[in-house]
Amino acid sequence: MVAVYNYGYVAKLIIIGDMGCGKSSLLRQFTEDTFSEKTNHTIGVEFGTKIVDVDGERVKIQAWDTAGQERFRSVTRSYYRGSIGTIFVYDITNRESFESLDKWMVDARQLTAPHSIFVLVGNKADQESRRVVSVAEGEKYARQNDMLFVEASAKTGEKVDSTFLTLASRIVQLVKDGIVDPMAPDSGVQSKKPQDALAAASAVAVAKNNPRAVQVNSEASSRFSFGMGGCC
Amino acid sequence: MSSNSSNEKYLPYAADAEVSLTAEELLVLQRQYEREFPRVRIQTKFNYAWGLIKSSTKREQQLGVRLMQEIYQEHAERQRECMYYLAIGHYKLGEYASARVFVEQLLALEPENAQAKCLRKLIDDRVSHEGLIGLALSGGALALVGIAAAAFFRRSK
Repeated sequence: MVAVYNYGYVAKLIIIGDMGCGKSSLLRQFTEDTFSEKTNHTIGVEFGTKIVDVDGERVKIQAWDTAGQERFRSVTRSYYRGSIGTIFVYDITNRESFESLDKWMVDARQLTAPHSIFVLVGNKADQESRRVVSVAEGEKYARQNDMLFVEASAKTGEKVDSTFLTLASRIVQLVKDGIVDPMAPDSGVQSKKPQDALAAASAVAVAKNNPRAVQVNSEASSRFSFGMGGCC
Repeated sequence: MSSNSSNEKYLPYAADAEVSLTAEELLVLQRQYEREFPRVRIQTKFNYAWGLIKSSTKREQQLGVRLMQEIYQEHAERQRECMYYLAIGHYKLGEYASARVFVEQLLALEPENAQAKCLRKLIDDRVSHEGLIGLALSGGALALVGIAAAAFFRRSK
């Protein structure tokens, strides 16, 4: 039995950064095309999905939006595992949120999937008059840490969709280049293509007849991380 | 994991109600709690209570709700998240009236809180779903009585 999906891949992303920098607003702008000035601090974690078309593939983006408050730090760390895209958000009108990036970087390096693509988003780009972090500073940080960089506005929607699309496109490229295996657990990308499901089923059948065939990669990484597997 | 569309619609905000930690991960939180006992830091207690509430076993969920309730009563600054997780805990235990009390309290403080709104909808949907099952069951029982009665009368004729 092979289930039929209207998308080829599921990609797991995580959104991190200080509280109040607009993580939930960015996600909501992307998934629902809406913005609200009145929002509450996220409790624990939120979750959003959207299917996008990139490079001839339909990709279901599954984004975990984490609470920025320090008190949820250990709670949210459990959601990093197996994310293939990590979106770091800071607020261009709040220097502290920029300075916290190093702290978030430590968690992301330690806990996300090995080839996770890091994206740096300077949010609230619509508020130029209140800016305290320059574009050059953002670019420099991104360059030093091998990240994509963009300044965006969850309020106006500027660069929001394109950021997620660029990320999705990079993820598809990782799969096409064979760097990430969408059949491996915790790789951050799952293939939902019927032919891949068939291949996986026959690989299991082969493994049953030849126990030595399966000893590769059953547990992608043994490092301890706190958290949950994929979902839906 | 559940993949039917009605569930997926609510996942955005109630993810913590759906996913459990592994036994190993929960053990880390438990050990930290036991190490600090009896002078447990509030953060440690919160993390452990959260992990327990996410569990799929009733006993752990109950313990989680108890610990979360203590934090709720003792630490005013933690009330909003306690209300949220207490609502989730009671919901998972099938105690929908209590679940609703906490989610309503949170909504009274933050009427626009999307996480709380989604959780309330999740609770309401479960209540009406189980109400329907209850109706179907009692309907079925009535039908059985009817069949038995019919059989009885046929035989006694």
